[in-house]
Amino acid sequence: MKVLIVDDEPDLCDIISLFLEMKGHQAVIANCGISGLNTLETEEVDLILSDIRMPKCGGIEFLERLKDKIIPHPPFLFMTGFSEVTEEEVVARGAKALLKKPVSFDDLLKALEEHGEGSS
Amino acid sequence: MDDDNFFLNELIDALPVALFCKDYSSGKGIFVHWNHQAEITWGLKKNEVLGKSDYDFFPVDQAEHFKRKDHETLKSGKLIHIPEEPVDSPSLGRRIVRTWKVPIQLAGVPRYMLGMSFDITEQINLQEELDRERQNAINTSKLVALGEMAGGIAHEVNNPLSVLTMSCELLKAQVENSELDPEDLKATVDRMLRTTDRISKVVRGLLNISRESIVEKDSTCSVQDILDDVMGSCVEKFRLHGIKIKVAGHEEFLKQEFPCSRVQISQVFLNLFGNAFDAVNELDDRWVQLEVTHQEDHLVISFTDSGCGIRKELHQKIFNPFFSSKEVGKGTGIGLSISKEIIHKHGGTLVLNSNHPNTQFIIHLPLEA
Repeated sequence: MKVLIVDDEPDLCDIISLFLEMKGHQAVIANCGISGLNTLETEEVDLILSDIRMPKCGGIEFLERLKDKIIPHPPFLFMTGFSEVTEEEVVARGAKALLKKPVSFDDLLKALEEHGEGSS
Repeated sequence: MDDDNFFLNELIDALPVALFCKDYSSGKGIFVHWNHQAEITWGLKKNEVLGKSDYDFFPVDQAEHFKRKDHETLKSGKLIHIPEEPVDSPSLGRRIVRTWKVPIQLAGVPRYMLGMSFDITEQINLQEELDRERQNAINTSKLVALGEMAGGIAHEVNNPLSVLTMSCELLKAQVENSELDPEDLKATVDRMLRTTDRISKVVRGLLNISRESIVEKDSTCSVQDILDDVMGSCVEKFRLHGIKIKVAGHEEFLKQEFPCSRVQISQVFLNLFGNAFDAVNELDDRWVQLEVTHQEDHLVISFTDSGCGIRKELHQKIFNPFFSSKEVGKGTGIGLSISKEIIHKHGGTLVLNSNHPNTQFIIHLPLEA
């Protein structure tokens, strides 16, 4: 499975990507919504895992712009360390789930299995 | 002659100042004059007072004080001024008066003591009320700053904490998978150390800003030290709003030590950064620049933001306490006045540079105490 990780914290992107690769997946990294959209022009991914608070283009804006650009868009998961939104709110916007930071790898794997493209 | 006396008495009664005269020829200080305003000021009628002394109306300690001052006046032969003295009136309670006392001599011997008093009770109460309000506003502004700081710290600490937790998870997963390469292990541990360092910096900055014990008068620090302290709590806020913080100036000046209270100068920096944030947040072009230069025996620190300056009619007002151009509830109007006071106490100046096309504040701080 190929996952796009969007977070402005490079260390966090690295860790998640190392873990996913260990589990036999592939990962691509972007540091904000805009760079995520750019990546998606050339890369096809099975799942997007995005932070919410980011400079320039945050996660919510990223999802909104993605919905206009790619139809249908890959399954979208949010992760955040804050309580600015609820899972209901992000699901209503079209995301699959909201993961709390720090994201536990068990939860991440479960979410991948449950929502990743190609999973039933 | 009677007409003259009558006129003079009318004149004295019409004066808006409490006027009284005591006869000291017998050494007792017997009231011989008590005008209309004196009746109002102390709530005592002329006919109650004339022929009596302070001891007949006022508490002993106050009567003693009046007598002492009277003697001082008579002895010095000059006018004396008592800026503030409390008087407990039998009918009005505690009043505060400002008094002038003049000795009157007869044949070269001091005999009478003429007194004039203004009731300044309301003025004093008003001043106390203002002082209380000012203190409240200062406390409020501290709370607001503290709240903002707490938010900034939560941001600043949360992300590195996630990095740490997830690094541990990664290590655990790698061990379980027997995939732990020494190089990978080193990379992960390095990342963790870097991250804990990031958290410690935030905490250290916070301690430096909040701990009063660091206000040692003869301590020295550099602009870079202050920046390290304040950045932890505000850099995230700027970053999230896409506001660039630029630091300019020669490294030598940034690291130049100068005598100061680190806590107080940090407060000034936080305040100027906070103002700049509010000023540029709605603009398209958003940046704040801090520059440090040197001028003779002064360090010159300028804070410039991408705003287009401050309207000329507000130039004087912005440093006044309680003046704020921010919307209601956003500013306490006290930040710049406190900042100016702090810099002033350090022997420096904080001014607005009205010649700059952007908004620029300049701090001059002496390099020697």
